[in-house]
Amino acid sequence: MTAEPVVLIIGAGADNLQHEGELNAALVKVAQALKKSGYQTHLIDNNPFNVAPELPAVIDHYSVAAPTVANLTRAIEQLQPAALLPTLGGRAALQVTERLATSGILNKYGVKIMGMPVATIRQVNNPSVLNQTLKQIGATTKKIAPVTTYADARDLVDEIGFPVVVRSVVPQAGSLRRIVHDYHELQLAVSTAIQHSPSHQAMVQQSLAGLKEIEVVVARDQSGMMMQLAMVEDLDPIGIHAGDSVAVLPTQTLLDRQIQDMRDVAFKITRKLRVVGINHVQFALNQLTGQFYVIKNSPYFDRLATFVEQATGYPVARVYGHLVAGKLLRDIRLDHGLAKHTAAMEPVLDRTAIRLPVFANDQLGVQNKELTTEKQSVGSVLGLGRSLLEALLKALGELHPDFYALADLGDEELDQLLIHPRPNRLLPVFEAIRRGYLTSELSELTKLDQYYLDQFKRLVELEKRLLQAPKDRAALTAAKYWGFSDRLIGQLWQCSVTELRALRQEWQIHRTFKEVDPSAGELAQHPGTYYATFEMENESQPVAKPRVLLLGAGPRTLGNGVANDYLLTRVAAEFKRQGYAVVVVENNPNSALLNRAVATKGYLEPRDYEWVAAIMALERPDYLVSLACPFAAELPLVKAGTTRALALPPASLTAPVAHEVRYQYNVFFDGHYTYPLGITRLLLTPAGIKTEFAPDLPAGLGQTLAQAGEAAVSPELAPGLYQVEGQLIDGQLAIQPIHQPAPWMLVFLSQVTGLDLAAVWVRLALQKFSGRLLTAAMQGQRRQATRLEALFPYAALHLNRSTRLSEMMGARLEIE
Amino acid sequence: MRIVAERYLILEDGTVFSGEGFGAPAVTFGEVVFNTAMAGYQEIITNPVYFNQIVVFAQPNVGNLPLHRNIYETITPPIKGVVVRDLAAFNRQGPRQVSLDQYLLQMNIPGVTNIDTRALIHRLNAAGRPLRGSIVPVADDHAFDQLHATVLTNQQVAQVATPKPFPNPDVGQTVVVIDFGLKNGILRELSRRKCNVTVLPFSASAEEILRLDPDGVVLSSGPGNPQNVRSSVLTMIQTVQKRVPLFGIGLGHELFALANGAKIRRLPVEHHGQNHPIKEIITDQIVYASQAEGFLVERDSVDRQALYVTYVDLLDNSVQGLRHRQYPAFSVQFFPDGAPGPDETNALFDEFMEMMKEEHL
Repeated sequence: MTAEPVVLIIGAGADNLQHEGELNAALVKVAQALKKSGYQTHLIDNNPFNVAPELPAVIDHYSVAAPTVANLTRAIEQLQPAALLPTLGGRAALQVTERLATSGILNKYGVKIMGMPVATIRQVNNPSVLNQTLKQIGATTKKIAPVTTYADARDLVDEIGFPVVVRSVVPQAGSLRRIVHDYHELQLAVSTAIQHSPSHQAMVQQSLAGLKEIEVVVARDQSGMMMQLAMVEDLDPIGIHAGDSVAVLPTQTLLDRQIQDMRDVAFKITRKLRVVGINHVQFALNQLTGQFYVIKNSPYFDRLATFVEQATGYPVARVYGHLVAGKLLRDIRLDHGLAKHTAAMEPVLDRTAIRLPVFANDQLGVQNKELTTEKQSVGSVLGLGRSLLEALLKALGELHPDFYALADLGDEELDQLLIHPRPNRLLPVFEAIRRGYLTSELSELTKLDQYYLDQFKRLVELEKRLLQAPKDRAALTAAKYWGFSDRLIGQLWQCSVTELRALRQEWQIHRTFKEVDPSAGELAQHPGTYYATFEMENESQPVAKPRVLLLGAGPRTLGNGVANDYLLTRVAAEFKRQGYAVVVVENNPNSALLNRAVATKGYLEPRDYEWVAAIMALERPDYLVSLACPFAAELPLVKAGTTRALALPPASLTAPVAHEVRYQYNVFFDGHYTYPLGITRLLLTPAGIKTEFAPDLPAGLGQTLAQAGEAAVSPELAPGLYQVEGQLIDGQLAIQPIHQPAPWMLVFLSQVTGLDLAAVWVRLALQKFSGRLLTAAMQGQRRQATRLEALFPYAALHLNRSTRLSEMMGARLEIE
Repeated sequence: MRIVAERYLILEDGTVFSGEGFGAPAVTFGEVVFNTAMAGYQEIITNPVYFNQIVVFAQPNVGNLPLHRNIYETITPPIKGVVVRDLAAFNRQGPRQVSLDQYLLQMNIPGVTNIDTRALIHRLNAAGRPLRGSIVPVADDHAFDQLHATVLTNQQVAQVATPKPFPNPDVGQTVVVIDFGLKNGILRELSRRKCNVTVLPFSASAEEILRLDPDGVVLSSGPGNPQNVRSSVLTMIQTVQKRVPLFGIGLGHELFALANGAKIRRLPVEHHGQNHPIKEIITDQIVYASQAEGFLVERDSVDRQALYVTYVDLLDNSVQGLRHRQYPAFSVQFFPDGAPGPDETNALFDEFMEMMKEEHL
């Protein structure tokens, strides 16, 4: 043990609707920066899919425990850390930190809170106190006041204008909220609300619904220097959660004056709260009057920070690590191909970036649910392009099967979709433009700025052109230039993506790659991340051999949560250890793969055939690695035998739906020998799903299962990890056919056995596997974690639904 | 609907960029420079600093908003062309809904869109010297011959500055603004502070200026090489700085430096943007401001007896601000009036106001 000071990092806990892996991905970079600044990193977390502790030189000590006050108190007593980092665990970590501060333990052990003073944490945790502070510095916030009579309410509304939200003042949460638009409605709402309130009070609150939402990210160092990292515009108005909105960087529809005014206020707030690190300020802007309101202030790491990092190429997380360690912006030196002083240079873009929310409502059987102030999306995808349309169409690539699905919808139903937006709301908007709606009229209906609708109209015009001119070179050239994917063109031209690739090659319509540099071409910088477009100059050159192309897991979906990303990150790390350059294709801005310490080079692109084929043509990888690549066999280089396609073993058994108990024998088979990894018990109940490692078993069951398991491994099986399941039916163990476990199970087994199963898989594929490695590793220390509990988004989405493994969103580890 | 025609930007080194034309179908010549600002296209293209220059926008989507009546930086913009990647589609009608395309047509300025502006910026950086270019309908030998034969004037200030004095009255302190290619932002900031302004042509003598008995004098920003501005301007500055507070901005800063013995160098690649960290030496703080630099004050040439450096650009260590040791006179290379750009250096106008007040006591 060295004398380096310890920083205790509060983990984010299980992934949920609010966190989709971005905090773990950021943690890796922040911890690396902290280590560079001379800290030892100690993490408390119970998220099995947090890959940070598994990567070399990131986390020095890892305690698998829920980041609660009790656990943190114990850790502080044991470790006596010099500092506590509460900003990588979302809002919950700040609440925990406030309680730790109140308990006095931080003072007792002289633990410094990184990122902001305690006073700021108290304010952030208490919106009404924060509002007071905002008022003091002259920032406008939403007006809200209690009234006891209609006359009071009318006076207030005369001042703030309609619409307003009226609710009764009741001790418990859950009072009815009504949005009112005129005096008549107001009278009714106020009298009802007063009647329902024991204290005969109603709250009247200014409604900001329909205003434009703008988000600003400010960085500040401990000397007080501030810079704006980004200003992001949400396409969707206030009233739709920012996480469910399409976000665009840079802002598209703001005057410089508005930008500067919001920047000034964001700086003022950040200074007042004495934030060190980053601060995320959200505004509601009334475009007609120019008035804007501060609606939220989050001085911690979140979804927006990772989006900004990937969109701009500015290493937000790494800089953040240096800032909380006390470095000044001007002194931070960035490697990875970035110029001197880049940390203090406000990032600028010569590209447009779009973040598009990804929903799972269909899977969850939720239809016709309107977008509201409560978040519903489960993942997000990034699109980068040299025009707004190109960026948007790339992000929308994930939705291509539904692109023309609304053609048969009636006009009235379409109007409903426009007025009451639902997930993937842009698709009905495109459809309306196809049907000839004026963009000005649509702007009224949808509250989308007319600028966007005018650009969408160009998209529809290009569609028309494609339809009118099938297999026309000029039409194809134009469509590709503005971002149409081969999948979309294929739907319009009734042809396959392979045909389109051939046409493009014949007609010399070539994709070029541009580097994501934070200076918009001003400085020669090479951070090693690229995106594709159709222009003159190509900037991407193949990396040195040997190399693998790794397809990322894409946006988070339900079922495996971010377990896929965890596995691929460990796969990338192992390929690197084996001397390979790792090139990643990924469009999930929250992926841990988007880190130069993990992957040598990145393409922020969709993982579909056309992009993968194009990137492969340039990189000519030795291996193409993915979780599953349905089109691998059609890729020219795979066909030619130049590239070998490797897919992580798919879960060969569909997830069970019945609620039951399953005993699982886990075994690794290298083609000759079997290596038992232990028994797990999967507990499926309507209320929850748990899996337990090395559980207490009924007498004799373990032996029976092991025998059955060993017997099921036949020499014809491909090498890999297998599971043999049994169910107790009438006291008898009914054995199911042997199968390969799901990625999340691989992660769990890796954690409980301490084996890097991803690395084992890589070595098998490279024929560098030796059983001795496995045996030696297994004799080493095992993790204490014994249980994994799957978690679901049902409560957050107000769904009354019994659990299904295929809908797992995140998980937590429990230790006996 | 816009009529789309092929149009080209050709560079004197022989490079051709093909795109689609917008704005006026005129053929123009100018130095090609790029700007990395993320917004504020209207303020940029109407800044007289771009006289005889063709501006390339690094940010791809330009023309998203209609022209706004409050934010012009001059009445007749002297810019020679606008080059973008993605001119916004624009279907708005009605009053105050003038598009960038319509505006440039009215002003007889050509634009080109669908250009690989990133490749173009790489080209400009690689050249290591200012490149002249031309926006043409056909990129043939004739177009190149014309470009090579074109001589761009080196008397830029004389082309854009007002030939006649004009007042901009208010009730506060009396300020004379010397117009070297004045942008409205400077007048806006003085108006905000109720200054009673008279704008004088750059040829005004010290005597003419002092006859108006100003509380202070502002040397405006403007285009071109300060060394080509007639030398009488330097004599004027030398006289005026001894008498009343002086505030130089952009070209005005360069002239103030020249008048006090410093040397000026031409940048191999002009810098236009607002994202460089600029250090204020006295406070050790960092600020951001709009910069439009073709020329810089040579740091080593600054006579430390007469001047001291107040601001430096951390990226290239260049002089961004100067102050006179003896007289109430100071200057900055960047635009403290923003428009477009951050407000952080806006307080320099307040400092100038304070200076004028003190000198009165």
